Amino acid sequence: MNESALDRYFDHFIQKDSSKMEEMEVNEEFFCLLPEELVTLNKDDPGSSSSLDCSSQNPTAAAMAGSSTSMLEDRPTTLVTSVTHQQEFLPQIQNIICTVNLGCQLDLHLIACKAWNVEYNPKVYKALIMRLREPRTTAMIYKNGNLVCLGAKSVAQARLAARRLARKVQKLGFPVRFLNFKIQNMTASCDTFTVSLEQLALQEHCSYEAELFPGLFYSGIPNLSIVIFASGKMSLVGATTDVQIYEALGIIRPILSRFRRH
Amino acid sequence: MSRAGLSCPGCGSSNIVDDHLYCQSQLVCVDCGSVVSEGALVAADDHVGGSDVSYSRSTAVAKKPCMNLIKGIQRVKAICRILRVNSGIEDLSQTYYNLAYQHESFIRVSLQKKEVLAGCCVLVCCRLLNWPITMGTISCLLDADPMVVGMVYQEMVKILNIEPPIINVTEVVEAHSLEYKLSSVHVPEEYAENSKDLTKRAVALVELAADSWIVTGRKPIPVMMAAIYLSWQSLKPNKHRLKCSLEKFCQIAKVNKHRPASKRITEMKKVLCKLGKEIPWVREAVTPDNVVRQVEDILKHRYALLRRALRTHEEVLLAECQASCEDSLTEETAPTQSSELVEQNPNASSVEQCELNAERAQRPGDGDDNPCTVSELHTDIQESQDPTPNWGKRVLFAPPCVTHPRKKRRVEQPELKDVTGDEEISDSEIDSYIRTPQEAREFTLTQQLFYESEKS
Repeated sequence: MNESALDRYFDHFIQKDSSKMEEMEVNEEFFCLLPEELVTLNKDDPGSSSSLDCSSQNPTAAAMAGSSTSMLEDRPTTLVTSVTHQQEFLPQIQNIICTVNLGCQLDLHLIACKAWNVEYNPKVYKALIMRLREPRTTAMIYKNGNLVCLGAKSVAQARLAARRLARKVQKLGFPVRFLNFKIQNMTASCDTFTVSLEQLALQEHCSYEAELFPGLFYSGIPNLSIVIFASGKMSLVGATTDVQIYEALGIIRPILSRFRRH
Repeated sequence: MSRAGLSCPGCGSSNIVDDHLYCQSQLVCVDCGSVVSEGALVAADDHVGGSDVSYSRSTAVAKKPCMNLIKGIQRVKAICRILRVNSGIEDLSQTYYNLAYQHESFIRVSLQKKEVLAGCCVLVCCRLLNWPITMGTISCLLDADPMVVGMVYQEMVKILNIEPPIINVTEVVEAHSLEYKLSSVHVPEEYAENSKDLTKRAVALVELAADSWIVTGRKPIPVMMAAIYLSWQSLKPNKHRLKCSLEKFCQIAKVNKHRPASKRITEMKKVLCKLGKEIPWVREAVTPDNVVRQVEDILKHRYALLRRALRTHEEVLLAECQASCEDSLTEETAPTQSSELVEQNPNASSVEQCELNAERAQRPGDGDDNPCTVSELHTDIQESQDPTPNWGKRVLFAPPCVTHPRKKRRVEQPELKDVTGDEEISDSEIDSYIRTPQEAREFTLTQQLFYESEKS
């Protein structure tokens, strides 16, 4: 991911100083965005609304004082997939769709004959499907030279994959160029805490139909759609850059904190 | 009328008359009958009287609504009457149907979809005016696929720009339970049940399910079916009812069984067992088989039992954490600082002791709920065996998708982490994707053989 965007996100939302890592104080950053009356309410009873939690607060009050302090002592340089406290709200890109123009007409029959890892059924679809092992991606190549690449897990991988595909086509004898490379769409996933979808659904820009789909759709951010599930897992679709994903998480995080449910 | 100055080309007679008999006036010779000249085929000027009147003004009437719209509105009214909703909902439904029907998304769709649209208008008005009804009920009334109903509903809500509130399952339970034919008129005495008692108990069960993560994200009808089944069994837990399976219950009550209801029953029984264990006067072990008999007591004292269950669970976790801390203390060389702290604070909670160990050991922690923070060290020690700790298994109540994850966690490919996108692309790597000329020839031959064999 974009390292500078990651740095800004960490600096703003995830502090390095371990002495401030108590849960209540971390939440204060989010609560400062809330109206005054909710701040006090949340300080007493953070993020919960069911009667269950009123009863559970007292026995756990003593233990709350000693909440986890070892959050993020080292900034992780790699993205690991196991859910720990460090990984809350750390998005992982799952898919990138990008396009590039090869700048020449292509003979798809010739490519289908001469290249491995290729599918071409003009009766089914007019484009040729080409796959790469590394990075593990799939591309659709059209006769006019347009190429759509899917499956990369980072912007750099997407660019590398597109270049490798273009090089592959070039080796087959076409005067290929690498024009207008553009990331069209990014899908990212993120793990957070459990959320009360019924209460979140009362907010604006939220659409939750349990009879149709178990997730809640949040459409408050232009050009981005977020699907949030009860377990706290969410998926962000529609971004074109890493920065947009971090910004979206910055917007959704305080909203989710208000409806956190234990 | 005769015309002066004209003579017939046939007989030379000057007796020419203007013949208005037919629509086109003609000059005709009276003596021989030949047509001297024809009029042009124009309408208005030759006709008697009046100014020009255009077709739309003369024959068109006020624009009628199309027949399908009229039928659709009648269908809306019929659905409202079947559901016995109030007049406000009926009027609003008709308004919305008119608006939605005229929109370009719905004006040219199939008649079936228009009928589904009628049901969706009623549904959205019921939601807006707090009339509890589910999409399943509308699908049944329309005899349509629930997915189609959902699709039309979402499209309609988008184009009409409405934000209806979500349904509250507890409100719908009462309406849903009326579908179950369990009165003494319909079923034998051992199966009969008063609908009020049934509903009351089912509502309590649904509330308990909502508190313990069974309802969120799930379809409401299987949850309600499970609640009604368990409440029916628990109201008179005799051998007839306890032996009755969900399928047989649905046959008795004359409702369609929903497959997920069985899973909801299992989940609800697990929750009831967790609470049933906390009842002080129950000596025997509470299992899913015998928990139905305790349902009345559990629901009566559910809040107190919930508190007790949570407390017991925390105590168990603390004890486990303490045991693991002691193990780790004996295993590692303990600095005097931490041991002094332990001595100075003999009454410190075991959590703080555990936490000192955590700081010393510098292990990353999962800090979701408090029980999680306490038990993270327990799982940290186990992490070497289990690389993916599941916090859902450590808390008493968690969404079932967290407790039983189906998907394997994806492992990121380590070799692609430091990619910049502008690396050199080696020829050998690309050559591995390209066929040699011989391979290409063989491929072409095989393809031709394949196509020929297919044709034959």
